[in-house]
Amino acid sequence: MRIIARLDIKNNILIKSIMYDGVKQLGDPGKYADQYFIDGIDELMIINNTGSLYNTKLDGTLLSKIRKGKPIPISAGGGISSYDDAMRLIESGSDKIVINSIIHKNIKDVKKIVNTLGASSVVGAVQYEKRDQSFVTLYEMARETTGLNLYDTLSLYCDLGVGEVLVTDVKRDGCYAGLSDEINDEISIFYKKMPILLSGGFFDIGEIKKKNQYLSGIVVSSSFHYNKLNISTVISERNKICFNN
Amino acid sequence: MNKIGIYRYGSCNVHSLINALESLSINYEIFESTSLLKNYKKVILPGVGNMKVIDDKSMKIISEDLKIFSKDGGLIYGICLGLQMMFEFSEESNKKTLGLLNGKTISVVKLLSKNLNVNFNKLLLEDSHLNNNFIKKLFSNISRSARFYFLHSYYCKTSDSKILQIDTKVKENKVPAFFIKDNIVGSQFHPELSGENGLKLLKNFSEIVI
Repeated sequence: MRIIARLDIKNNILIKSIMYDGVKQLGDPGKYADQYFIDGIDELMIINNTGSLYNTKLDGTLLSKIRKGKPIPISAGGGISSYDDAMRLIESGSDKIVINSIIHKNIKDVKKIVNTLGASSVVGAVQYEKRDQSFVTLYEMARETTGLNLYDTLSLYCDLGVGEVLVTDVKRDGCYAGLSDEINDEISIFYKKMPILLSGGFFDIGEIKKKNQYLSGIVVSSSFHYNKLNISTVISERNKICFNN
Repeated sequence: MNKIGIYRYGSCNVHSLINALESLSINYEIFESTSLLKNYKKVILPGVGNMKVIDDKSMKIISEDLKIFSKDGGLIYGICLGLQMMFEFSEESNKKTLGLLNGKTISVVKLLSKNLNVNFNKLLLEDSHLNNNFIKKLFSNISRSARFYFLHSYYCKTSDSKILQIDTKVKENKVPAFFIKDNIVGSQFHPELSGENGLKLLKNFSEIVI
């Protein structure tokens, strides 16, 4: 299982939301990324969190700066609305791109992105919320509903040939409530078909052991940004559990 | 002449590789036409992209130029897609590829049931592999428990006994991870994304004298 640190960016400042709302500014994302790399993080995910909502793009210069001196995988996304947007992030040093809103607006370019970069370089993001007994998926910083449920959204990513999928529980975002278990029945078939990353609420290292069998990775932001969890400790524990060393 | 040539084909992503080489102060140059191969002794075929981006005509020219380069003693290192491309046929593009190595690339779904293998995995490196002088040098100062970053939806399969192969293990399945035949080598994993161990491997590669 991989441990991935997620850095949400707005106007080149690291931000963190709670339940995709109430965004707080934390500082220079480069400094956080540098420290996370030194601490031994597996991967970095850089997201222009409000990109689709406000039609803004991630600054390529910032991405290049973060990339420098870090021989680890970096994915980037947020506000990718076209093939050109995706290629700009790759040109700025990203290894993979993270998409969400574009699959509901511009399928043609999604296919072009996958055909050019290959499935392995495209991560599909899903924001979901439980409403009544259904898992509703959202986009534009969880402001808009896609009209699809979680199962159908993952099926759509599968059909588009996307390599891996990041599933985020909006109601757990920034709340240290632990990762979601409630979706397991709904998406169990996808655990077998493609790598699934889960985010929203990671706080307890014990969850690595519980979820190692079916998750490909855990994506963490608040617990690392606010020093609730130490990355070196999490990686060391992961190594014991997953790698037997 | 001591520079490592990075062959940028199609729209392949070379940034992480360059980032790694620069952090090691390794002398490199990017080239976009195989007519320039004569300027180098060692070249790397980087590995991010989709096989479909190279058309048949270009594939044929690249193949012929690389075969001459290799025959003249040039060292070729293919990374991930760069490795897959060196075999004869790709299921991804459903077309012939470079044909520098006998074998083909197949979807990982057939091996792992999943569409993608993505993780940090250990190589099943055995003592017998280290009898190969090149492997010994390439993996010098790298622990046997070192993990490398794999990110691929296709894998290479060969039945050529002249190709030396090192595997990795994903759950209970062996997945081909490294190939060498004479002066043609390739890794399914990305050394440029494998932290310190990957950097050591790239440093060792740069120091190999041919």
